[in-house]
Amino acid sequence: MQQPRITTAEVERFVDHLARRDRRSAVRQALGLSEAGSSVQDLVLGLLVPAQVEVGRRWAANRWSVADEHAATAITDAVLAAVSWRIEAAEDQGHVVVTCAEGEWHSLPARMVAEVLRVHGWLVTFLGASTPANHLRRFVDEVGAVGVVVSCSVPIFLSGALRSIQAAQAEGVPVLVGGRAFGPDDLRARRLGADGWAPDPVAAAHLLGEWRHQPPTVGKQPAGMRDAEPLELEAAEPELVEAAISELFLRFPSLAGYNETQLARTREDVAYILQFLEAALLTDDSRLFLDEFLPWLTGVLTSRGLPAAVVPVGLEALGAVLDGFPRAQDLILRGRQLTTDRALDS
Amino acid sequence: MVKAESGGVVSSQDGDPVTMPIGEVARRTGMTVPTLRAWERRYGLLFPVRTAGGHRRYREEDVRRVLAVLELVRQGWAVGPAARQVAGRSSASPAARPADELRDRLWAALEQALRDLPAETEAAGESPATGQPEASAGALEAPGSSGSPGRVAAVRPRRRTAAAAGRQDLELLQATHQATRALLYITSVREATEILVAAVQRLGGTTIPASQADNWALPIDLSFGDGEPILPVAEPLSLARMQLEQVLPGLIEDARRAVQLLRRSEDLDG
Repeated sequence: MQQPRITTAEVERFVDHLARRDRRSAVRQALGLSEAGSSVQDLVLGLLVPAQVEVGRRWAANRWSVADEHAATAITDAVLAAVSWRIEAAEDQGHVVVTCAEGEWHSLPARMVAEVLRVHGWLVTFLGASTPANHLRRFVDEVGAVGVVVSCSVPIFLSGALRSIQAAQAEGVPVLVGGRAFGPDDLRARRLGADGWAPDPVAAAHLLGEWRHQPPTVGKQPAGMRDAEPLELEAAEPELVEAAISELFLRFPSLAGYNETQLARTREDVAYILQFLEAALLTDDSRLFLDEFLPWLTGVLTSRGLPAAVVPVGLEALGAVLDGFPRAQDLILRGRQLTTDRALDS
Repeated sequence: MVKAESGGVVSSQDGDPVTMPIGEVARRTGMTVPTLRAWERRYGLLFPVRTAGGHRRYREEDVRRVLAVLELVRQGWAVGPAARQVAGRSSASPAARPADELRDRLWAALEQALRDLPAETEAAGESPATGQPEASAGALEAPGSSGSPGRVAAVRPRRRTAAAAGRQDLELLQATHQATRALLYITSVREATEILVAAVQRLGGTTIPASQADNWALPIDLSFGDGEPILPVAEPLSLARMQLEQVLPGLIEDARRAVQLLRRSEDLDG
């Protein structure tokens, strides 16, 4: 199957359409590539995915606003719909249900997976964003699917992914997980008790194909939480945020001059750090917090004019209120050392 | 009908002594084993007997019940109501359509809940702590009701009672049903957005342009790339938030589908 590769120039042109919020041109470009021989799978993996990665990068770098990001995502979504009309697959592989983890509202990645699975001949039911676990359970019970694909993009929703996994498995249906939240390998997927993990939609299609011929033992490795610390951390979140804000006041006297909105934002930021901490503890994967979240957070804050040193100071305040949460404290300590070193380097 | 208790022994007094493993039930009904297990667990549809060795065995009667459920499903029933119907738990007549059955069950639950309501919750004038707009009480006066709306109007529960929960379920159902129907008739993308915005408001939420979004906003755009992105907003842990999280994902998927079909027909027209 000889197909023209989609070049970086094409991706750049596509992102320009997104930047101008020009849906028609974006659709026209994708359909033109399709006419020229690109398959739907090529368009998804070679054009739409790289474009959305660039969208995320521009938001993180403070070049694009939240509104810009949403507008661009809506256009990519419309393009995906337009090219999907061209899928003419047999749908004879079996039925598969694709859903976002409970709490995960970013549905475009899951939608891309759904369309690639259709290309591979699967009859796909896409349930949409943030499907409540009880809905998922009721649904898979009724359709008799070969498997359920649970997509999760933001790690703070991995606890929701755990509920989604367990809901489908309770009906005896195996669960395949994927998405950026699961990281670079299958460690988090295994810790959450999923039956399979796929790094990309094509790998997902192949694994489901194997399941069709040889169904896996569902829930063979049940979610093995090391201890209750992530759950206790989640339960204590409101008080911990307030206590950490008080600690921050001691360290940053200038906070006293913050208005209500600024204080609310600061609370949200502290809560966000806590939620990533919980996700790292839940999956017992420190990389999630140290290698993925903290560099990203530092980039987001510095691109918005804050000094890099704000991260280790914020972590210090949080660490001071985490008595009784030894694993969380350990991660905070390691995070402080890392971010302090990086702040000094920059 | 004689039902063998779970854990009992195979009895020849059943008049249906031939037993089979679940795989045989699956083969005869065309269902998968996990689905049958789920129906047994959830709806009590199958009544296995145990062999001396503790293995479950099924009888003709179980096969007949599964086939009866499949027949109802073929007639348009959802699996849950059909299985409950066959398992003998539902009081609806076999001829009832799914929508009638659902409405009947909701009303039955509502009436029961109202009967069970303690008298002190009828303190007049107190606004419901549910945060539910009073307009939702209108749902209780829907035609075909066999309830007593006069009684309902006097009820002001202090906390989320079973009655309030039943009313909310009905309100959720009606809000989503109305929105889904409206989506079938859109002539522009903007109309789809307006329908979603109205549904969000009816469920107790608000909407905000994405340019002003804070962390209370749900990160999902209701504009489908047509004009300024608009996000739903609801306070975390509020009733409105819970309701939005229950029904909005499905509703937005339906709206997206309607928008896709609209754009598709526009593209085909020229």
